[in-house]
Amino acid sequence: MKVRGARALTLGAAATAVAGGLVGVSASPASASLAECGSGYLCAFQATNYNATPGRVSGNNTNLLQYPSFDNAVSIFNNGASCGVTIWNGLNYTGTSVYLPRGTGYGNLNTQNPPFYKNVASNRWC
Amino acid sequence: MRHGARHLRTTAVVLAASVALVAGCGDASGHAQPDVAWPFGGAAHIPTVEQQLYAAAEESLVADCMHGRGMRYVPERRADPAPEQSGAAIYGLIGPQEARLHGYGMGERRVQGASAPPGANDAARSAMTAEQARAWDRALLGTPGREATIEVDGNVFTYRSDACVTLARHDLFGADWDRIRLTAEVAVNTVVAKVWQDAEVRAAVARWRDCMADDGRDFDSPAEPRKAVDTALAKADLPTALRLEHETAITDADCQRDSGLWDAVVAAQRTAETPTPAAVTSMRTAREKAVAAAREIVGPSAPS
Repeated sequence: MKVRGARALTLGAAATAVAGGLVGVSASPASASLAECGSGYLCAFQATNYNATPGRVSGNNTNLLQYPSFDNAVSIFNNGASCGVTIWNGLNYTGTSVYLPRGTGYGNLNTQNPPFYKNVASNRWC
Repeated sequence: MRHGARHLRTTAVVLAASVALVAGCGDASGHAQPDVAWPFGGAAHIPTVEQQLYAAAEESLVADCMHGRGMRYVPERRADPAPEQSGAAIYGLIGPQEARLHGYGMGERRVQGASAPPGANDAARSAMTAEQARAWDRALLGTPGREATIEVDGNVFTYRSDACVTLARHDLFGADWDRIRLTAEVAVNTVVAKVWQDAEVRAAVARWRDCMADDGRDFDSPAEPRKAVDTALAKADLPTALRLEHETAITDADCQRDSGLWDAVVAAQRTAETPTPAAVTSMRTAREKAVAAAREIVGPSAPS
């Protein structure tokens, strides 16, 4: 299982590098928890690289901090089926915001996007 | 149930209007509020209308990709886009007029509801077998386990390299877009962090804190009043919570103005955003190209 995941990742990274010549593309560890996120959801995890049971939301939320996974978010992934999602680090769509296209995420908010580390406060789709 | 929702909506509108009427909508002090722009003149911020244009183009490309994989796909339409965010909102700042008209807007949004609009493909996907749905998801969002990352100065962005959404994004923006955007976002966040550390801003926040306390509202930072209002909206009856929101927002806005917080933020941001990082210039250029490409893909119906 571990070998199969690693091989798939290598192939994926190689394909992307060939297609786009991206700088700094690398493979990341496969995450069973990311697979648990489920299609249609914005998922927050209390561990790096999506290695925790995800907290999931499918609607717009002015206060995500009421949910432990978002209040303590360490990584986050948009697995929405319909559109991208904007997240804010303040309640009610205030503060710093970033747009997460579908199928993208931050594996370590502490280093990758500190304003959102343990503080994904609100979200709105599309 | 429907009657209840209508009643709540009416209550919110009447309360907002009455509070605005009592408080007045103008700025009685005569002090001109400076405009807090997005860092780097907005080069790293994509306004809602531009985001809509990109989304329309991406959806067209996603549909082509899905059809090429033998999957049905209806392009999604952004009927209810995210509200435009002002540069002031990054810092949790609120103007006197906005406060008097809408408070923080939190009660209004709660009454309006927060459900996401249904997706154009939701019904079709629901009718699929579990196996068909998994295949459809893999085609659209990529294969779990095929996550690739882009790293910029320790900041890592994850995506699935074989997803139609990824291929469409790279088709529209170029394969380097994610790296450019990530780098620019890091630059904006750095500016915001520097602004809050600025000595003049910290002094203004201290004056704001005293001003709020004089009105019996004890908060440490400009982010805290919204948390108090959110708690009230969750626990108190709606009319009481709405009144608290409007009164707090008005005091907050007046104290922000009187403490010189807006002026301090504008000055600190001007210093923090100089010199302009190369990534911000790259993003400006990439956006210009993407807008042209998106207009070509979408055609005459492109949002403008």
